[in-house]
Amino acid sequence: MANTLSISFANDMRELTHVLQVVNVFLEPRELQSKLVYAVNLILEEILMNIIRYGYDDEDSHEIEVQIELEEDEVALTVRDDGKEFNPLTIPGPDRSKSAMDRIEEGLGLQFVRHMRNAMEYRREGDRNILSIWIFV
Amino acid sequence: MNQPLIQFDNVYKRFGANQVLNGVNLSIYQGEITTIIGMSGMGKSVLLKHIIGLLKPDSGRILYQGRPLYEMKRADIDKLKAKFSYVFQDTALFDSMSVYENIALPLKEATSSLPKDEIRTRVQEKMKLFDLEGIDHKYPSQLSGGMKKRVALARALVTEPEIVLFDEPTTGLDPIRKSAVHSMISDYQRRLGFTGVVISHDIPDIFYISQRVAMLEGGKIRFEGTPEEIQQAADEIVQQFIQGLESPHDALTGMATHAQGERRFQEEMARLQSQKITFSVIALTVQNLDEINEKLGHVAGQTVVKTLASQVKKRLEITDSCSRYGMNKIMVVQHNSKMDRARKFCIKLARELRVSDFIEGEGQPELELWITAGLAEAREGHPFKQVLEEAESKDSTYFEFRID
Repeated sequence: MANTLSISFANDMRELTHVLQVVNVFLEPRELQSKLVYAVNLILEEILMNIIRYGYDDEDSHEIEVQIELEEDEVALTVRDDGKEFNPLTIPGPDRSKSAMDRIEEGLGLQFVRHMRNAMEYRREGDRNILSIWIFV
Repeated sequence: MNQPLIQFDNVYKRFGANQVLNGVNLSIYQGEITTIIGMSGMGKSVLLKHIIGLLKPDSGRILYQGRPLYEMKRADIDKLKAKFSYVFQDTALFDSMSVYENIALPLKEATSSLPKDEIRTRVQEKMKLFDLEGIDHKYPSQLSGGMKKRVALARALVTEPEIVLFDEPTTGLDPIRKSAVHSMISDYQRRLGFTGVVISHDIPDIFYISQRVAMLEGGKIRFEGTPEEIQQAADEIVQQFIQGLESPHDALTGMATHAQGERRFQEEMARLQSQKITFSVIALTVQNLDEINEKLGHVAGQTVVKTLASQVKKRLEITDSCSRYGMNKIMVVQHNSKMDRARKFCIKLARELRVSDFIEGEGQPELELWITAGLAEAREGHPFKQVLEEAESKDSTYFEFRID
């Protein structure tokens, strides 16, 4: 089984469901922890929705790339887009003084992954945002 | 700038033939920590004692919110004194009193009308804050040096003073506990918002928690400014003093100090300019140090910083260098490195660090570490400050990772 999945698709909300299906077809036969699969789904959905909704001012079609690499004890996700410069890591860490509902609005996927052993990296290269997320099992 | 909270206006003080204060001008601002440095026996404690009114100047004035102390009425001075607190060099706990009685003492002295229950509540609150629960009935002779310091701090803060004076608060402590006391002072200063005046020889550690630094030399203030300004001061006497006191290593981590880290940066910059050898800067920060301090205590907090430092050092190439540049901040300068190598270093660190590296033994308390790493590749001619700021900025390459 290949250990890497690379997909690219257009910034169209209708494509998003399709992308997530492909991701799950890739993940399913590998018998990963359900928490891990859930985390990958949650964070991908959140990040991709954000890019499609807020990333572009024009009406043109833009390519978004998703890459998933599986190692024995880690999952690495990388999302590349040519949208507006945006670093999701600037969203503050979990604020325990806030209620659960308020925290959901801070980005549930990001918060969920932040509660696992993880690393996240944002960088801007040329006109592209590159977000990488490692979840360590 | 606003009006100083406390101001020394040309203050002179002589003991016999010894002119200890020889025209001191100094401003202390509300809500800031001001650190007084200078050679031993040069009158720093004398200066501190003038603030609290334990000594009176031979000439010159000490102003509180613009008002000279000597013009104040007795009652006003008493009111003012109640706002002050003083942490002595040798903790000055009373050996015949229990920990509880020691901490409660200022409340009993200052506010005779305070009901017993209220005193108990306040003392217990401070004991909890300083991690002293359950030792109410012990006597100072039964406590370790670090614990005595905490009792002294609890006693100094129990009246919720507006101004706290610390006379060498870390004397006789080992590096972790020294660092923990600094972290404690800074933490409670932010939380309670008091104005702090600290006499210290702990350079550069004390700079991490100070907003202003003043150097007393020959009975005068030789220099006054931010920690950054004093480290860059052109005055040779100031430089000699700082470099003479500055230990060759950061006491807690054994890494280079901030000033040495900057010199190392300059060497790399020279190589970049003459030989085109690129280098990168990585700025690591323990983001949840406050949370760790609160949950596990300041010694645990400082142990985390120390451990991170040793884990970082282990993974460096021989030509790389590292320094501690803030209470929770470590800088790595990677020789012959472009962004890609710096990134690999960060991913490796995130992948390999385990919480068991940070806390030893059975029954580990729950610890979660949240670390960020900012990266920048140095460009020719860009000054140190700019490159470090670029590394710390979330706009450039920026990592965060969580360890448990």
